[in-house]
Amino acid sequence: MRDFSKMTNKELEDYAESMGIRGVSHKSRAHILNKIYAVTGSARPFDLNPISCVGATLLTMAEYNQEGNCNTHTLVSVSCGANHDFFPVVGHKAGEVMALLKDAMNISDNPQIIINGLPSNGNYVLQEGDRLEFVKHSGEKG
Amino acid sequence: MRKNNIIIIGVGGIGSNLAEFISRFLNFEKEFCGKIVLIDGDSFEEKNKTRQSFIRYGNKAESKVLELIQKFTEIPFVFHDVYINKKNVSEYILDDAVVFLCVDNHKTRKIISDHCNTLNNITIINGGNDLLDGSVHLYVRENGKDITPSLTKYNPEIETPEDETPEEMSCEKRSISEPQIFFTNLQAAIIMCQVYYSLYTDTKTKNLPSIIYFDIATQKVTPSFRK
Repeated sequence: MRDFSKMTNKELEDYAESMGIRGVSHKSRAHILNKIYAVTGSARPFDLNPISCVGATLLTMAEYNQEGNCNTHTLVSVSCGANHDFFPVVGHKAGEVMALLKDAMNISDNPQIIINGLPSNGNYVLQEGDRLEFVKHSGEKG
Repeated sequence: MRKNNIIIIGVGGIGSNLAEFISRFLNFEKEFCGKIVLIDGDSFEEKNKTRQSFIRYGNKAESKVLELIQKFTEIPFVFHDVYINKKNVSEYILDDAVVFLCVDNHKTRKIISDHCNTLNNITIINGGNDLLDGSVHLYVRENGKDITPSLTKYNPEIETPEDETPEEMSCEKRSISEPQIFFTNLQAAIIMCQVYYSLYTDTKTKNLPSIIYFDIATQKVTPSFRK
């Protein structure tokens, strides 16, 4: 695995372009690294700065800042009906997440909010490992 | 689960297909010693052909039972040509049954849910769909206590239904039905059978989701675990 921390921005640009990644010329170091790791996928959190991954869970996403350091974000399971995905929303209120994902997850107006299987409300602040669900109406016909 | 009677309520797009799947499974299960009861007051008509599995016209419950007894000789079948309502629900749904709820309105779901909340041991596997998506809800009650949430607990549309039962609808209203897709009905029926199979093979109820959502357009199937 290449040690990207020792590469200059120009070297990173060349490396990204050799991988077929376009649009990295004169971009920030963080931008180039995120592009590279978006392509290389699963290796993201582990090759640049292993210390940053201590305490990370399987639901962790890596992101690189201007200095090329790896920041990790714990993801929260969010679902509405059959729509389900993981989002870096730890510390956000459930109501904020609802507004953010309303269209993307087809969330109805004023849905019941469930956190970890129990009724909750929009003021709940999401924590690591939470499962957030916006209840979708059940199917009517048959 | 092996000696529990099966009650299929609503023999339409979901129920007519599910009845066949469940009968095929149980016909070859030597340990199953219950009966299969089909209940529906509606009749199979030409317009139902695109989604519903029948080989003859007439009352849906009767037609399907007459068909099933030819194919699956090891199971006793019973049919009732009625719609479930508040007055007759206690006559048809008794303790220890597994109810496959395949009706097309929330008001009947509410009647059945309320009645089952008064029983000691009952399992409801409720399926419903809209055009492309739908849900399957598992309700288990043991020794007078809810093991999984009731149909109404997280579903205000069932708790306070705005629709009507088939008996309340005018003939004109009943003849106009919202469009449905065969594959959506089929997906609901298949997931309901899978839930039943998990229960039948002794999967612990606590490991099962209380509701499963599906969407045939995106091919997503998402379980929800609720308390």
